[in-house]
Amino acid sequence: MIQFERFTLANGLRVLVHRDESTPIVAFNLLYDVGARDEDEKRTGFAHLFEHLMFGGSVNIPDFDKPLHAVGGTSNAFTNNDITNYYVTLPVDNLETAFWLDSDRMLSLAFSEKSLEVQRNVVIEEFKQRYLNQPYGDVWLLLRPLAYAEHPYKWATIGKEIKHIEDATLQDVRDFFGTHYIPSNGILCVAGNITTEQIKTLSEKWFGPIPAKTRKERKLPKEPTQTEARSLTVKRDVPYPAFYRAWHMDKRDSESFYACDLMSDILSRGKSSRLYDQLVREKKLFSEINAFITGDLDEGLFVVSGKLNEGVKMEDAETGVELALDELRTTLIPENELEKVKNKVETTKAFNDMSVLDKAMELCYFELLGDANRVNHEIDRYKKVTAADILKVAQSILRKENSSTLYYYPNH
Amino acid sequence: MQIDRTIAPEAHAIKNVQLIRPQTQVLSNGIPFFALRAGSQQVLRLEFIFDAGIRKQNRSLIASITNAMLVEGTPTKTAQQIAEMFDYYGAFIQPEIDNDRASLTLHCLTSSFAKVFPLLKEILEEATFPEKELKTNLDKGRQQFVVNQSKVDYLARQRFMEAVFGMENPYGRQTREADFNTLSRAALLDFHAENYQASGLTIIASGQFGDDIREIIDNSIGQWSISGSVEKNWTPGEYPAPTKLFIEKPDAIQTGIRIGRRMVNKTHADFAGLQVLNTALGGYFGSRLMANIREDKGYTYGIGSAVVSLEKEGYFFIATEVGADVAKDAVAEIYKEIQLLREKTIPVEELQMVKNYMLGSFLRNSDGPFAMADRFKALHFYGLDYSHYDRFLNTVNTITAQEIKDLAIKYLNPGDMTEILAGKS
Repeated sequence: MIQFERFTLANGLRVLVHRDESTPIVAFNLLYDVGARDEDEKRTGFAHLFEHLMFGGSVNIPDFDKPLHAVGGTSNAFTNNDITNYYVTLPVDNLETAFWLDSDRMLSLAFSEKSLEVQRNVVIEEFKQRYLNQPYGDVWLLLRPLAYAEHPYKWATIGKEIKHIEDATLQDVRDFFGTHYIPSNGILCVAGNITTEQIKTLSEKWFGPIPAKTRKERKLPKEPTQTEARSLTVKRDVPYPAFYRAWHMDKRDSESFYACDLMSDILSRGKSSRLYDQLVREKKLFSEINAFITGDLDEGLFVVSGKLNEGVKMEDAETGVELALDELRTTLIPENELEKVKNKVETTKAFNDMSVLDKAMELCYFELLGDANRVNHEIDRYKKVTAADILKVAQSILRKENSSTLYYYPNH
Repeated sequence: MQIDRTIAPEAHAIKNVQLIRPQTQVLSNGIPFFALRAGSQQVLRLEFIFDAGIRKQNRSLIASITNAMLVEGTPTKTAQQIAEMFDYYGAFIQPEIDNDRASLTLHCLTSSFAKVFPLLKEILEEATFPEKELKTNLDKGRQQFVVNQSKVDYLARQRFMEAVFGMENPYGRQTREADFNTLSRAALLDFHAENYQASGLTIIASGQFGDDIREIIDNSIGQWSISGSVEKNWTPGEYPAPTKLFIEKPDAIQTGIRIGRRMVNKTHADFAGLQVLNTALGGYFGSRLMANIREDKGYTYGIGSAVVSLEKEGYFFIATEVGADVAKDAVAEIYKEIQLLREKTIPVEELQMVKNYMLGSFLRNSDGPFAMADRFKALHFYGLDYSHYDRFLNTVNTITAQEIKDLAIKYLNPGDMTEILAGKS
């Protein structure tokens, strides 16, 4: 059970406080309700580029990291299709430094040309390092636009292409900041050996004076129902063929989400899972295979991906996967198998809840979903899932017309 | 009330952490069992650590495959059944290996321990290394290896260890694709018999748990007979001279760079000071390498350096991936930063920042039962005690700019560096 208290500042910033007396470290996590899905299709990769610029100095403080390092702290951030999440951990005695730094960059950035130019280059190198210069690195650049026709999930967080990042201007940066980096778009959680009173005082002092701004309503195109199977075949400089198939599933905040998540565990969590046992160990069709959900807030994807064993034909690998899925589509999974994946979820949760940073991130995320207290009830929602629920999602989601397949072949 | 946002809040000195130390509760037969109780969750991490790391192998792959296959068969259970049982109880069983030690680690809810332990015991006593699973492991491993050959950072890293330590040195000897074709089950059995012995076993439990854990373990593993240990002499072979190598990878759009050298390990008096020097150079986000090569030039997504302690050796390295067109410039800038540390003392303000960052990191990396157990492990296998951390913290607090410069002159001579680049020439 993660206990917490919450309050909202007059400018709309939501604040959560979790007390954990056992640690000298405090976690300061600030989630902004903005991600790659909020980008203009002609300027993708911007939410993520912007995350980099948030470390390039703010209106009153020329450098973000130095003053933080100087008091024993460290910081990082991540961006995905839905959110941008900034976090700081530091010795609890120096907590106020985090309030000072993060409130100043919510107030306003430095907007320096030099910082933009350098971070454009850094992000372009990140694009190359993670997506272009890695074997199989461009899979998501290919699979997203195949699976999505309309919804902005059709581009990856890093962006559609390097050119979009090259073209970013300082005016784009200012506009993006003005629209999205406003108090009512933020959720702050402080976790550690602190009191709610103390956090109220610090929040009022540092974040309170930041003017409120009206949130722009989010109007994203809804992905039309897919009616026909799609596929794409590519050749790349890789040693082995790989197979990727994605199906549309329901959004994060839906009942079927939990059944889908458990279904992916049944298929590939651990070495006793179905796909590993049948396709890696027994039939030796794949050297590695995974089933997972993207877990996006809007309607996401259920994905099976695998690298073929040397000499295996693509159609045999594909048939192997579909045979395993047929079992799910036609037969109720045994109770003990369902029990197994639920137990695993429970253990994972217990180990997750050991660090103040993990707890702070989770609280912010569930607050974004509507109620931070859901963090304590997720496990019940997993436990409620029945074998019939899984049969139902297998039948409704794992359909051919709902699928997009990427066949990834070596050049020679 | 208007606040002046240009002024930082008052900074407080970073307090020393109170490290919780494990209780030593040797088993009946003398196997050391350490119990570190901390944290609020009823969870348990139980590590069985054998003196069977990569350094113990005389041919590549054998240590890691033996370790990975501990959980892949016993006389009564298949790999699938073993995985199924651990998974059913929500437990995680992980074979783990590094250069020095090989372990089998159990993570579970404390309440599940009694249910999963019999299987763990069976694995420890009766692993069978089935042929069929060996083949799966070798196929998987070979494919992963081939995929890795197309990664410039992997190529640079592999060749670096070889170039620094030499092919005769167990830390230096690297895997070749052909090694996957020649590893036999008999060889695994030999390696297992020789290196997974009770005399080389250390058990560490961390988390929240009662005395029954030790009792259950003592009733089985505490009854093993212990034969004489087989500590072999350390034979490092001849160390190669510093070298510069370019690995050609025609289509690479980034170049992997690794620059470094052999260095002292944590048993040496200079090690703590070297950690401060390294942090300033490339050990944190605000480091000189990051500030120059990422934040000023934009050549890379990331660059870092580290001093690494192994039980029998140590080394220092700088690693990055940069755009192919700027690889030469990046290398020149790296040496420029090294030279600067050798020629000019580090400014007071920067040194203080590095020190505080390190003190904060020490605190962060000592948080929770598992981190504290790791702190213990990092001492135990080097024969060090907790006063090592007092000395470390004391060095961080008191080291002067001049002493750091002296260390840079002594240890970071560019002429001693081995330099590996992998990419398009």
